[in-house]
This record gives sequence, structure tokens and C-alpha cells, in this order.
Amino acid sequence: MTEERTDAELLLASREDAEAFAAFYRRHAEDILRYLARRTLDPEAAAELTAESFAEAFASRASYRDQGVDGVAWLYGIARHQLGRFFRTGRVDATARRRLGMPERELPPEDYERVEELVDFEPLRKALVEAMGTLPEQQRAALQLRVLEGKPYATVARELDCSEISARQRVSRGLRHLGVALQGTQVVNER
Amino acid sequence: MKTEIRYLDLLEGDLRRAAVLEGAQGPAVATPRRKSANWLGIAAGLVGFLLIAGLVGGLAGKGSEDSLTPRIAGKPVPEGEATGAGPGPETHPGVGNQTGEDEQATPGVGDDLTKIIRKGDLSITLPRDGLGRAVDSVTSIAGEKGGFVFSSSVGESAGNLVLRVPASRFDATVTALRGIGTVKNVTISSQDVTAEFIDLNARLNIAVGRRQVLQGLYAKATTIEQTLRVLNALDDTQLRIEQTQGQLNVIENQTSQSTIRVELREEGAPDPQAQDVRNPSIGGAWDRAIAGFFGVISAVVIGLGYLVPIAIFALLILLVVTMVRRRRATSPTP
Repeated sequence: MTEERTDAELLLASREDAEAFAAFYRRHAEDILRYLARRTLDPEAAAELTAESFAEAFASRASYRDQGVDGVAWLYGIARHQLGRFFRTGRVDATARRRLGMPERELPPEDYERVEELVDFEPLRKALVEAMGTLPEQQRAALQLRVLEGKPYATVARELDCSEISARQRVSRGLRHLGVALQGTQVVNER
Repeated sequence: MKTEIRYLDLLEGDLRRAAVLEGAQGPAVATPRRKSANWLGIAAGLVGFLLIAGLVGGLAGKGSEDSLTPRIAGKPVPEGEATGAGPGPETHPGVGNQTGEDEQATPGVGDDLTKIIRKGDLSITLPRDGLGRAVDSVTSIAGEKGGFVFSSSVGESAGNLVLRVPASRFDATVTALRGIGTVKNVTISSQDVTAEFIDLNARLNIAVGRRQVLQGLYAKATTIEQTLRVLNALDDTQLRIEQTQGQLNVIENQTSQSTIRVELREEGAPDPQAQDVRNPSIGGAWDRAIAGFFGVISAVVIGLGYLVPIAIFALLILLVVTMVRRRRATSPTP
């Protein structure tokens, strides 16, 4: 029954029924994560932005007004606002999560590759090669191994002579810098 | 929800717990998404409140100033022989202030100690080519009232004359001058110098008495030293007598003869003051800026005195209304 309701109906019902918001979340969580991952090219940042976007949506669901527009557009508006703030400040805001008492979770290691799979890197390869030249040596090497050569993190860590955590951090930071650098080139796919 | 991405499952759990926590605190209420917009709104509201306070304070201050400043422009000055205190913006403290409306309240004529310096300013508009006749009329009036034209400056279409007339004929002179043309403005000012006159008289009497004593001592001086001493004291006393007498003469002159300035201007004639272009000075501008600054501050403070009680009442009413609405919103619907 819950799945049959529209996004607007779920949002309006969520004021009184938390389960309605849960249904809304299940319907769009992965899409929002994919949307943010393709624009940030950073799994960690994309995950945090997803959490903050849904936290903000939950906190302000009472202010949602059904004005004939698809309810999910309201959610994407929140996500775009969070994304813009991320690019301006270089970090993810956690105000909504703190206000709701939600923890600021780190992306589990096993989710890194899955989030990266959400990003279709093929259209980005050429632009990536050009942007790679602007990166620090350590980040460039990590991205070369992980993104361009597709090697697992364990192999990346071994070849860079560092821990797997460090390898993930170098890749994450490199992707974050690339995301900022590629933002103006409109290389990323639109939903 | 079980996805391949564990983070999303964890996030769903966090959101459910937040919902439980919120349910324990109360139903969802609209929360602002953008704090910066709220702060901007608050700041704008404060600025608006202060602006309104300044406006209210400025109007209130102007109103109280108007009620205290006497206005005599355009009002007929009653003709009379009064030589006593008349109303006006300049009154000597200690004698008592009278309102600008009370032209007829003058002290008794027989009180010789009462000394009032009266001055008048008239601005009269004349018909075209009427300046010459008006100047002649003013001169005639001054002569008829026992006075004279002290100074004059007459141009093609405008002129200024200063008359000196006996104080006892002041009111009659002003009334006569009003008939020359259309009176634009009449300003009467009085300065009571009675206390100063009495004080100077007392000092004069003391000095004269001292001089008599010294003259007696001079007649009895037997040595050169005594003679020189008495002569020195006599010189000082005499100087003081002459100074005091001089001040008394000035008061006598100013109180016995009143000054009336008459500004005559034909219709359409340019304002001679407007032609006098003066470049503003930086010092003057700075003084005005400081005065303006403190003027604005005082106006805002006055306005806040008016608005704060109103705001408190409004907030109390808003609080009551909000509480009633919340109680209705949370009451169970049948």
C-alpha cells in the first residue's frame, strides 16, 4: 500500500507517520547517492551528503507543500543545496544530523567499491586524464592504480607502500579534487 | 531496506530512531532550512524597528519643540504705551517667562526700575514698484513716533531699514508699520535687564559713597605718603564709577530706545539672503554632522521609549494566541 502512494502523498503523510518517510527514503536513497557520487566523484562525500540531505528532508518535511510538482524534486532541491555548500566550503555540513541526534557515520570499507560502481567513469576518463595532471603525486598515483587501472585497494596499498586506509584516503581526496576541478566542465551526467 | 550498500541501511536506521525521538518530543513542525535567511530576516526586522523608533522619536521631539517655541508671526501686535516686559523668545531669567500669545501682559509704566530691551523684526511684502513709497512711509512713521532711521540699505526691489524709536512708542510703531504692506513675518523679542540695572546702580552708589569717603580722607591727609595712597584709591574708584555709569548709560539707551528692523521686498523680488552665497566650511559641516549624529541617536532613544511598551504588549498577545493555537492543534480530533 505504501509503495503505491506518490512522493507528495508520502511526504505529506510523513508529518504524522514516520513509516511514510521511510518508504520515501527507500524509494530514492540509492538514486540520491548515485546523483551525489557522480558530481563529487568522492564516495565518502557522497555518502555524507546523502545522509545530510535526508536528515534535512526529514527535519523540514512539515514545511513541504504540494504545489503540483513531483515530491522528489523537493528532495533533489535539498541535495543540490547541500552539494553547492560542499563545493563552496570543501566539507559536508552536519547541522541537520546533529539537530536530529543522528550520528555522523563513516562509509564502511566494503561500500567504497559499491558507491564507486554507481559512478559511470567511462565518460570521465579523458577529462580525468587531463585533470589528473593537477593533482599531488601521491593522489595521482592512487587514482592511476584504482580508477584508471581498476586495481583493488589492497593492490593499490601494496604498490604505494602504504596501508589500505591510506590508499582509500588518497583516492578519496584525489577524487574530491577532481570533482571540484571537473565541476565546471559539465562532464558529469545529469539524472 | 536491505541494499548492497550497508551505509544506506545504517542511515535508514538512524532516520527511524530520529523519528522515534521526535515522536517523544512532539509532532513535526516546520523548521527553517536556511538559518542565514532567518538571521537576515531578524536583522532586517531590527533595523526596521529602529528606523520606526527614530521616526517616532523625531516626530515626538519636533512636536514638543513646537509646543515650547512661541510663535508670533502674523499676529496683530496690540497698540499701547507699555514699556514693561513683553513676550518673546529672549527673556531675562528670574523675571518669569510669558507665552508668545500674551502680547498684552506688560508691567506697570510707573515702575522706573523695570528695564526691558525690546526689539522687533518685520518682513513686509510690497506690490511691484512700491519700494520707494514704502521706504518713505517707514521714515515718516519713525519720525512721527519720535524716532529715526538708524540705518538703511535699499536696492532696486528690496531694502532693509533699522529704526530706533522710544520704547514707549514701540507697539504703536509696529502697528503703523504693518499697514505699509503685507506682513510676512513679525518677531518681537524682549530682554529684561532690570536685575542687571539694579545691580549696576547699587555698585555705582557704593562707588560714589566710597569716593566721598576718600575725598574726606584726602582733605585730612598730612603726609605725602597718605596723600598718594588716597589719590590712588580715588583714581580706582573714579574709574569704577565711570565704567559702571557707562554700562548704565548703555542700558538706559537700549531700554529707552527700541530697535525695529524692517525688511521690505516687492513681489517677485529675489531673496537677498539667497544671493549671498557662502561656501560651507568643513568645520561647520563637521559640527552639523556631529549634531545630526546625536540628534538621530536621541530620536531613536525617544522612539524606543514609545515603541518598547507597545512591542511588549504585542508580544504578550502573540504569545497567548500561539499557545491557544498549539493547544487546539495538539488536542485529539474526534
